[in-house]
Amino acid sequence: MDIKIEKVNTIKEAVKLHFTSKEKNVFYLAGGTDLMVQAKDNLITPALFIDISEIKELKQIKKEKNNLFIGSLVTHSEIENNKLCQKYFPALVQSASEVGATQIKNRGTIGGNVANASPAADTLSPLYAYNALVILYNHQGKEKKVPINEFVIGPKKTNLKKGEIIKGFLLPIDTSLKSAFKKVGPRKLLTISKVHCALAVIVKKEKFEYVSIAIGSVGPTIIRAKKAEEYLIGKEANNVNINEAAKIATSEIKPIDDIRSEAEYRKDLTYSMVKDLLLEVCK
Amino acid sequence: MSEQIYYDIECEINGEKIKKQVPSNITLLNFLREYLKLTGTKEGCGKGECGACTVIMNGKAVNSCLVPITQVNKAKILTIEGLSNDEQLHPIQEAYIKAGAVQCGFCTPGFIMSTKALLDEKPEPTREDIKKYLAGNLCRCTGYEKIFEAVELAAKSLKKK
Repeated sequence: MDIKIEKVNTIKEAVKLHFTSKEKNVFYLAGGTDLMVQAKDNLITPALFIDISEIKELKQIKKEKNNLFIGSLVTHSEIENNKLCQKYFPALVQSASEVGATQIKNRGTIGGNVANASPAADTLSPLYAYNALVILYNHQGKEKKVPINEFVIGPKKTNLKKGEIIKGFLLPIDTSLKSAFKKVGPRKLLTISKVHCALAVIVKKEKFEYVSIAIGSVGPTIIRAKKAEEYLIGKEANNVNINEAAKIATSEIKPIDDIRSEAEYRKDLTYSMVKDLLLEVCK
Repeated sequence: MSEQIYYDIECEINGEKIKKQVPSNITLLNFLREYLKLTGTKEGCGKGECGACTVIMNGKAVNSCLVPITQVNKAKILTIEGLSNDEQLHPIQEAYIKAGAVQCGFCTPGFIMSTKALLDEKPEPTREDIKKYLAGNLCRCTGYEKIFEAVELAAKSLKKK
């Protein structure tokens, strides 16, 4: 590993260095659980790592009006154990608890999981299901908010511009929302998802008032099963409708055969996961 | 190739203050083994999959093979060498011996450090807690059963103290 690492102490220093660096392959380094592995395997050839691990303002979880702000340096363990996350965003908590294992969860950050933009990134499906906004901060000191589905644009690809950094995520709080997450991998723990799925619903008077279904590892980015969502709106929360929605969802994904699974099996998994999760949140 | 940058680090390892200048591209694992000659911490996969390199950093179990040295500054690190004192093994080490949870021994330091982190967080874990917490440590000899027994035994003997 022949890498230059420069440590910065503030978000301003971070974006300035990112913007002014003449090198092409510049990465922000947080927990290192993806980047260090990719650098060792020569999957990336970083000219510079900007070590942002000590920027305090990126480590917060706090309520901001009707949203929860989760800083990009918050670790998976911190999400798993955070009371506000547990109260409002159980699908995110569940996904964070199933990323890697203890040692990875203690170091890997939510910002890193998103920036790495793997279709198998477990925290991405809940972020999509909760309609999270990505807060970007740039070298001119400006902030902008981008919907998560517009930020992640392909496998390992995001819309992050030179001189920008992910400050954190904004998740709208809605106390009537019920949500859940499930993942299936080759083994139970310390595993990468064959399929992961998060969904959030509002059911009033036994009818679906709001539905979001986000499925991962079944396409280049997380896929929102829009047709299944639309199908359920206004319908009764019963087994027949749920079963039909799960079937529709399988027609919306674009799974492939790869090292971890086969397209056919991923379809079967998607069907049963969407069904099980819908039944779970309607209980 | 880029020019090598050196980095001054100050940290505490097994209770001892350490001050050293090291290349910025090494990991905590390299630092422990090659610069401090603390070879109890092992390198298995080098990719955060096997847990053989587990140490406790600022109270948390981490894979030292993935920790860039720039993040070790000001940190408190506990390695397997810091568990026992000169006369006596740590109760967790005793429990691993008693339960027969050690075969080839390569994964053992990592397992013991993860066990320490678990019992610090949760002194009375269930079997399920243990399985989940230790999922990041792989052992190819024991089949895990005796390791789980060792953790339960360690929890009991630590409670008595």
